[in-house]
Amino acid sequence: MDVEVVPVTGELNVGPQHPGSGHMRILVKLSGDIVDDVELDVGYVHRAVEKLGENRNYMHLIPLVERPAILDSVHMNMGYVMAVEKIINVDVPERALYLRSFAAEVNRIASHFYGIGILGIFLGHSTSFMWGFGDREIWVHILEALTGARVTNSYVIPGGVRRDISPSIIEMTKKAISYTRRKLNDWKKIFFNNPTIRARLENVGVMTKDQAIAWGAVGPNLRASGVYFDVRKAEPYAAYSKLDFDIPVYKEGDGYARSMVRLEEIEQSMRILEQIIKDIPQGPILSERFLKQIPPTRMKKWVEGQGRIVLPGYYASFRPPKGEATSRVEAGRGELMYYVMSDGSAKPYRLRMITPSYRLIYVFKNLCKGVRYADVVSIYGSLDYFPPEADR
Amino acid sequence: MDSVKKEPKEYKKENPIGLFGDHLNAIATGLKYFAKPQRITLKYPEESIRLPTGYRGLIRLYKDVCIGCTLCAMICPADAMKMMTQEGKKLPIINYGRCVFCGFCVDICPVDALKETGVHDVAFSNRRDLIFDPDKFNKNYDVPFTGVVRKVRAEVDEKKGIRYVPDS
Repeated sequence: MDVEVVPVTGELNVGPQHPGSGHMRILVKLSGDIVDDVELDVGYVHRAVEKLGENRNYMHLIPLVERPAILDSVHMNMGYVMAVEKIINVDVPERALYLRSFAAEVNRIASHFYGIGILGIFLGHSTSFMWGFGDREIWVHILEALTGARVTNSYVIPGGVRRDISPSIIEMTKKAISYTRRKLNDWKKIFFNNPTIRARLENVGVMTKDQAIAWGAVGPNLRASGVYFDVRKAEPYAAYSKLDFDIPVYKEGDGYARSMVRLEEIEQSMRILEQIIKDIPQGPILSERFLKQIPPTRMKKWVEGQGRIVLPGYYASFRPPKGEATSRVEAGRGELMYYVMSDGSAKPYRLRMITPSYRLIYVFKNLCKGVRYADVVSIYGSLDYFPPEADR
Repeated sequence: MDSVKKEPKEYKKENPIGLFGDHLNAIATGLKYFAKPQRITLKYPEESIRLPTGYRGLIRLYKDVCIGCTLCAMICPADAMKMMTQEGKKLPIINYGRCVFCGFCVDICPVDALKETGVHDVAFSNRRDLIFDPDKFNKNYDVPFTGVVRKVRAEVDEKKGIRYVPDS
């Protein structure tokens, strides 16, 4: 009987059924165990957000732009709303800005725990998968109490935010911070300092500083390659100009450095949350321009009584003036950019959305060249690449 | 951007003696959680979470309060809510097959004719059942307490993360 000999060179399909955190096909060209080239076949979760954006009015788009990255929805929402606010030229009150930062940082922690959990299961470390999703649950619970939904919060609206923070949420956040701080010590012991994990991540998928800039990496992946860049510092939005926080930057540019950046960003985000809890100013959570459109009886019942904005009829279908605007925010995975163009009608003429994962496609392709096959998953996990976000 | 640029950090490279300690540390942490598990699993069919007030669950209508202003149908991002005329009065109907639970309709209603209920776990055997006409939409979904399902509240706990306390 003839035995079929495994060819020295060949191709392997990874996916398209959910190789990681979404549907994508990775066509790996191998020679032996070494990856010659990878072909990324993206677009399986394409939702045509940009085209749909031309057929929906401005408020309808808020739940839509969140869909690409449901676990990072506050950032997606906030970036879009910031662009719309520039067109309709509205000032956001201080308290609303702080609340935006609050929701964004809670979301960032949840998103990073998700990323670390996915990285863990890629490396065969199922404890961290369970821990990542379990510890994320606490932060999602805070978002649920604040916004009314676990994910896809639709929390940020043009002019402010939809709900005010309550003392019980502040209490909850304090407990969550103290819990997460303690749990991160165990995280370090079982995952980050675990020699088996370090062996899979150190010196794997090394991206030098020049490469990171040339390939257009963003977010924690860029910072892990020694580039000091964060939109929160470069172009402060929300309340970040008043908050004190550090940007973790690592020199190595390998998978371990990327994981460490995420870990330290969780710590920094908790620092930001503590400052927000301490410094948050009193005041309205919606711009005065819209607040005065709310009838006094409803103002008393909802806005003052329950800290909940009732939308004035303006929002049902507003027509902003002609104009265009761009906005940048630092989402969980990196810089997120929106371009909104208004032609004076109720629907945007053009909506452009550049997500952080979209930029990682090229980075991922380049990083995989010349590594061993088993390292492809390690690189994928350490980049925290999220296909639905890239496909939009 | 900060005027003072910080030098990028470098993580500690491993040394052979520390390596053994790190292995032991990882195993010891695993054993710690093996002896004292930190489970946050909700035993769903037996236990069910009492959702907090303000949770954006299924929506109900107060038919008598509604003035038929169509704002809810206008702001609905998913076209789930439509208006229909019943006995000469305009009333909203909702298609839960399309609803994304953004809660915009509840927030924009000028007379509070729509309310979010604390129910989100429902099942339908037929897709036509997902469309709620004003009469069906007018009811509360709160299932009467049968004694089989224990209602619990999720609380953030400093030691356990999430803790479920029985809801009285």
